[in-house]
Amino acid sequence: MRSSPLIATVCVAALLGLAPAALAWKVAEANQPHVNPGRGYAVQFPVGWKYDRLYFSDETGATRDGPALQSIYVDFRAHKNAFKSLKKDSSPDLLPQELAELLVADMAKERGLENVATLSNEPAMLAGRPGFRLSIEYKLPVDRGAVRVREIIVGAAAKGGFYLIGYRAPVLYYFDRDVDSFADAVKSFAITDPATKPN
Amino acid sequence: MRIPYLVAVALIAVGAMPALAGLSEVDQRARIMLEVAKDEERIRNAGVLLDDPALNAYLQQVVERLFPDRKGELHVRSILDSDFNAFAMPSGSVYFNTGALLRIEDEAQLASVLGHEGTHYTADHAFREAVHVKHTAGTVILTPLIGGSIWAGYSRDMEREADRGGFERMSDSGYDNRAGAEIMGRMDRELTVRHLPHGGYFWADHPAVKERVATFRALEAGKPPGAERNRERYLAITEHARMDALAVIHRRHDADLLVFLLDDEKLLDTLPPRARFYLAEGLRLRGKPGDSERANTEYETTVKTAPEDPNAYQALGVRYMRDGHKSEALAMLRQYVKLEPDATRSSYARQYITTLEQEPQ
Repeated sequence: MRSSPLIATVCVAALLGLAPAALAWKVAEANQPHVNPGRGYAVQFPVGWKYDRLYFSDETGATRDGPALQSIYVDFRAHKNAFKSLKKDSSPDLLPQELAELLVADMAKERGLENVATLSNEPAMLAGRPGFRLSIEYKLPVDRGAVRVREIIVGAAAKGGFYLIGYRAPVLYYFDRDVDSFADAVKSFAITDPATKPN
Repeated sequence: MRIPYLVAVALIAVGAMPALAGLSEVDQRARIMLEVAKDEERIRNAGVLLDDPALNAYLQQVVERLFPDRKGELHVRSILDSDFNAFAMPSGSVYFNTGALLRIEDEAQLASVLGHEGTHYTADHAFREAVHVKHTAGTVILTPLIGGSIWAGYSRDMEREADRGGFERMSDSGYDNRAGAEIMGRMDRELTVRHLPHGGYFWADHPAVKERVATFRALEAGKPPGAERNRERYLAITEHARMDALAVIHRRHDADLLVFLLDDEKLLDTLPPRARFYLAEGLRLRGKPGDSERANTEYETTVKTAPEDPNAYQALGVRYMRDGHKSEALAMLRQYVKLEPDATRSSYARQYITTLEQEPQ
């Protein structure tokens, strides 16, 4: 079967379109927080780490050695359709505990994981707001290396949605090595959009 | 049944299967078995095998009763997967999902499924399918079906043969003949409730489920009724695995499935009293009109019938707290912390208790 010239052109154009994005990673510098006015937050990523908006997601991610080896990510999800895989909204009156449990369910469904173990789910503060600190562990499917991954997510609800800052890395070697960098990023996290601050 | 998604995905990693053209049958079989061995190693490494020696021994016992002429050839292992599935490999390994155990109520129904899977092995379906694909596709490379694996699925005729063969084994072993139609009927209802195609989902290569129900009904009509169900034994040995499957469905917040299995299908009657918590959760998460009130009732019943189980105390404590029933909330949350001081959610309960205690009377 001959491939259509039109399809070939579209494919090449798509690849060229991705190229600038692939080169767009920024390097985090000291005392230069990444500010996302649209999402209403600022965060200081570890110095020297590269960061950018992640493909196929609204999250911004930072990594030192590559996203598969360690990643600190930040996200703001509006309440409407907050849990896309579960087809559910969140709401301002959800307890942090409930928010965390919904997040695990949504993530497990989205990533096709049956073996997510919740190591801890406890109250925490994020940017001065009451929230949760969730620690989970799972094994990736075999086609993705069957790697055991640990992930920490700290989150808190706001008026129009909720903020998340998370860290994931393979348990073997990487998780422990960079977890302190994540703790520093969490401490630096600030909510900047007045519309989402408590009344 | 067919290989589940998890394993099918795993098998993609196998890559191209070996060329079989020009090889003798002995060599063709050797090539296939080499690939099977690799796949089974991947299954072992995927961390999905259930570590429950008593359950695996029981499953093995039942399969050997069904296939006394093949003793030592079939090996059954349980897999932690909440889907309704089981599958046989050409090596004689049979993998049985905890989700299938959850939906099965007695040994006769178990025998029906094991008989089906064992027949795939005894009827040499994997090799026949490989030869069939080679002839019909005119290819010399075994890369058919999904997952890049020849044993990722069998033809519909082979599935029919496995249904009939499995039924004969089950019936000849003295089990109640009605078990096959019962388990197919449950599958039929689940597909309807979950809005899944009856020829699709994890049994895409199987004859339509309704056809299979009819087949089992016709088969049982031609046989003297067997009597054996061994319900109590089945429920006792599989309890842990079935509760595991339920917990996975709950963790996924699959509310419709929880309510369907526990309430509509009445599987709650086959599970320990603490399983009622999952029905309450299914109702709470589903949130249809009337569900919230009924969830409350189910939580309260759980506390009465399974007082040693902490989960319902926590859920009720939160509900009472939301509704402003301070003393009731405190009682429930304190009991939860007492029963499960080190649980992941205990720190929330302690926080709620502190907040409630500080509130003005």
